[in-house]
Amino acid sequence: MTTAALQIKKGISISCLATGVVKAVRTIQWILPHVLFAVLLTLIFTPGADDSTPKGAFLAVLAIGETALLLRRNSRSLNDIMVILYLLFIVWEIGTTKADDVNLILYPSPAKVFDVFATDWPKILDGIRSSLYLLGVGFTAALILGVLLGIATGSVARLRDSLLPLAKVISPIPPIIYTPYAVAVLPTFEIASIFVIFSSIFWQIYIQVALSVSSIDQKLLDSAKTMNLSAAAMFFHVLWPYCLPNIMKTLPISVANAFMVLTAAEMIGATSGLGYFVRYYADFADYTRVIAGIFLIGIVVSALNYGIAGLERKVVRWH
Amino acid sequence: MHKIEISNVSLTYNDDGTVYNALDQMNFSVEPGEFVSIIGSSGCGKSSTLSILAGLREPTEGQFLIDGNVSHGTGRNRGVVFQHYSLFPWMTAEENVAFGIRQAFPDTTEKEASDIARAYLVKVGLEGFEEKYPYQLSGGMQQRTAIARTLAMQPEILLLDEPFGAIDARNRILLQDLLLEVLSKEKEQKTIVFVTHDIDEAILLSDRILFMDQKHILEEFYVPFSRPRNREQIFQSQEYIRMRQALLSCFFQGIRDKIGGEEVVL
Repeated sequence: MTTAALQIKKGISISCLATGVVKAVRTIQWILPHVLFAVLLTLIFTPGADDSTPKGAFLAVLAIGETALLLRRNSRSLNDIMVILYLLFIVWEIGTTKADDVNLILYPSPAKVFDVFATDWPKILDGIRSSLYLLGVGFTAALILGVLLGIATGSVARLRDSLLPLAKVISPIPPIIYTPYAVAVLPTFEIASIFVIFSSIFWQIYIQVALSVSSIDQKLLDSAKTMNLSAAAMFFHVLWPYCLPNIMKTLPISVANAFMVLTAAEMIGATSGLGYFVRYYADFADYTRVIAGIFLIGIVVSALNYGIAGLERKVVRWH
Repeated sequence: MHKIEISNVSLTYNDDGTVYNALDQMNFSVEPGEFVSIIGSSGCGKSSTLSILAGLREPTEGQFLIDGNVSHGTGRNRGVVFQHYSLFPWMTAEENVAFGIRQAFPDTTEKEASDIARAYLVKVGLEGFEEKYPYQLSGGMQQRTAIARTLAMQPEILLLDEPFGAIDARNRILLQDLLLEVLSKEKEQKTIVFVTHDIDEAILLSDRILFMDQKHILEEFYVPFSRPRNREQIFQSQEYIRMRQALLSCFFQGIRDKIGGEEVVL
């Protein structure tokens, strides 16, 4: 064999090796979450500090993760997400049940935290309902008033020049700061928290709408004017749809802000709701339920944002 | 009686203290059913003229009359097609046209408006594109939709502000032919004012061409060709060549004046 042929053969074998390595890495990548899942299962059923808590809820959560992995086998991001989650669960499980000197009151095991969802679900549902009610009322009021006033402010130069500077001074005040005073002054906690939620969303929508209306393309307005639109048609068919995409874009941030304010308010003066749930059990040093409540708030906010994203796709189809 | 009469009209903009003269002592009139083009280089005031005709601006001095009556503001008797952004981005082609119909004729039901809209979209060659949003349509298709909407609103006067100015050459030819064809099929002959900077387009489409410079009408040309017009025949005729030459020299006269009377060598 000539040297050239030898070199080619060497090159081929190296490239074969490279593809082999790549293939192996890929296989490991797909198997890794399932391996971690098996490790986690072994850990759960190994005797440790917390063997009395029912494990059903925790296992159910893991089963959901595994099912999602098996259903969407081609999703690399889901694969990576599950690897990270399983690693976190493993650390959590070992840290709270298998390590020396564990303190299950301050550092509850995953089984204990997830078990709260299984046992306390009527209370949890009630908390969600109560929080979403306050959020819904405050939010709707802020949306309607914000859009109406925003469009008026944006389209009348005099209002724009006087109200927008004022709004820019008032809006940066964190609405959370109103809470103690609002709770003290307003007749019921319900009204107080609706007010605080309202002010946490209103300014954002109002300023957003006022700015987008004032920067609307003059040509679009001219076109609308030459069609002799009535004031109502101008509002509902031109200005409102013009602002809608921007409003939908700020909505997730608004909702997150409002939820932050709401839960904080609930921690101060409520007798129901998600924030109340967390504070109430913190008073009894029941940190298992506190952590479950924190998880719950994360899940509810994510679900809301997911809903908004879906709504945006449905409502804003012209982009 | 003239359909449109512009008499001694001046227009000044007041932009933060600096006064800008857009139109200066302008006079012209348009007869019922006439197709008049206003031609001129950019900044000569032709778009300002159209915005007065549309009712978007009021003359600072002078009078704007329709059918002998002073006209203020926009009105149902006029329809406008702009160069850009006439359509509402949040409505499909059909919704845009139907919306126009419902504004012009509030008694129309949604179903009727949508049927009429579809018929007009077919007329401008947009069958099958009814459900598309403007961003999904090419520039030419958007202008077809805008023309369909304006015609569907059945104005007596049609105002077109460089409607094909942003369209590529091939599509511009198609749209010019389409405009002539659609207009010839309308029950009542529309009175049309068409603003353009394209000499060929003006000759092909209009009955009369007004050359505009220095913020008023400088020259007037009657276009001698009978209708229906044939593009090739017109472009080969002697009258066309003479007319084009005359219009071109108007343009260059303007340029000579601007650079101080020196001879322009091209």
